[in-house]
Amino acid sequence: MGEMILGYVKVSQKGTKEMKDERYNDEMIEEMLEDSGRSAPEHITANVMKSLPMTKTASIQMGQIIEFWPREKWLMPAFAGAAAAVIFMGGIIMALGHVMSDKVLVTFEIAAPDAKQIELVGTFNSWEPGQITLQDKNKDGHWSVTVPLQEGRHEYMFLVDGKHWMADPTAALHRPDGFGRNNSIIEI
Amino acid sequence: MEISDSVLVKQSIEGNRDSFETLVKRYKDNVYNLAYRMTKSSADAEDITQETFLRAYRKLGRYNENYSFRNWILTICSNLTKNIFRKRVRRKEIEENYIEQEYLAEKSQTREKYEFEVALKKLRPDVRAALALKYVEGCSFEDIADILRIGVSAAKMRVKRGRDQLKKYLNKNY
Repeated sequence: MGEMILGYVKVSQKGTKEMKDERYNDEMIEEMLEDSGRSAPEHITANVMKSLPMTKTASIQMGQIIEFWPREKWLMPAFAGAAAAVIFMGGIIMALGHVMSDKVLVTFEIAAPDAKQIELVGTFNSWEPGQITLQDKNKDGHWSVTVPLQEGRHEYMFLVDGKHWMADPTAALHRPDGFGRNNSIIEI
Repeated sequence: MEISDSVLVKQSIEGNRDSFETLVKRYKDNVYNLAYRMTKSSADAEDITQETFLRAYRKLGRYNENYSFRNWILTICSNLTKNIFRKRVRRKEIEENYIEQEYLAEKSQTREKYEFEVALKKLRPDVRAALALKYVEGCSFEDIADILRIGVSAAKMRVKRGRDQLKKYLNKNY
């Protein structure tokens, strides 16, 4: 009644049941799925970069330059002359070796008891992490670092544990970066 | 040490185009693969990949660094592809013929791989997407649900259905 054939089982006339060996079993299918990934053509990166719009930051800076330039014709030669005078005087000062240092020591502090690492990142280091790290000297979650900065205006944020950005809550000024975050500002 | 995605995003926002280029290079394969699986077309997948990164660039400020950048950009890709599908009628027969030629012309392709690709393309795009995310990207069901904007149960069902259908198509002629 029952007949065994390699890979086939016939049970009986009634309720005949056939089971075949499957060529593609679950394991094979999963393996093929895992191997089925496709790589993007190399030129996609270049095409994306070529299509990017001008950044908001760059366009804001361009706008500022354009607005600054005076419209009255007589002002332009006057500015050009003033700029030439500044460059000349600067050259004389540097030649005499009397270049004054314009760096000021600034201490940045933040309370972050759960953080493992905090870095200071901003316009003064081109927003590159890995350069200025705060210290939690007393192991009480109070982090600080003192850095020399040029006089002028600087924007910055704290980078917590390598990925979370925090504005400085004690900063008097903030600027939205136009993309949903607020940069802290310090003016020296 | 590799720079984290959130640092690259911040640098991109501050005008550093090299940082955004790093993000593109890091995730272009992931995006392309998902787009290809959903559209069955390498030309469409290229267009969608480029458009996905352009949209991501415009929306960088909406990226939450607590969320995986990979999942975020794959969500943009998935939504974009679905929108394109709604507007277009697919030319099924032409594409299947193209697939056959494309595969048989490649010496490295075995018959099994060819049959696998033909069977895969019979599945619905949303099922193919779920399979790509599960097996190529290694996403959890929660991630799949997030990216495709469905429930976790629905994600599990799609993956299971996809596997079962593939198995059925592949073993059909055996």
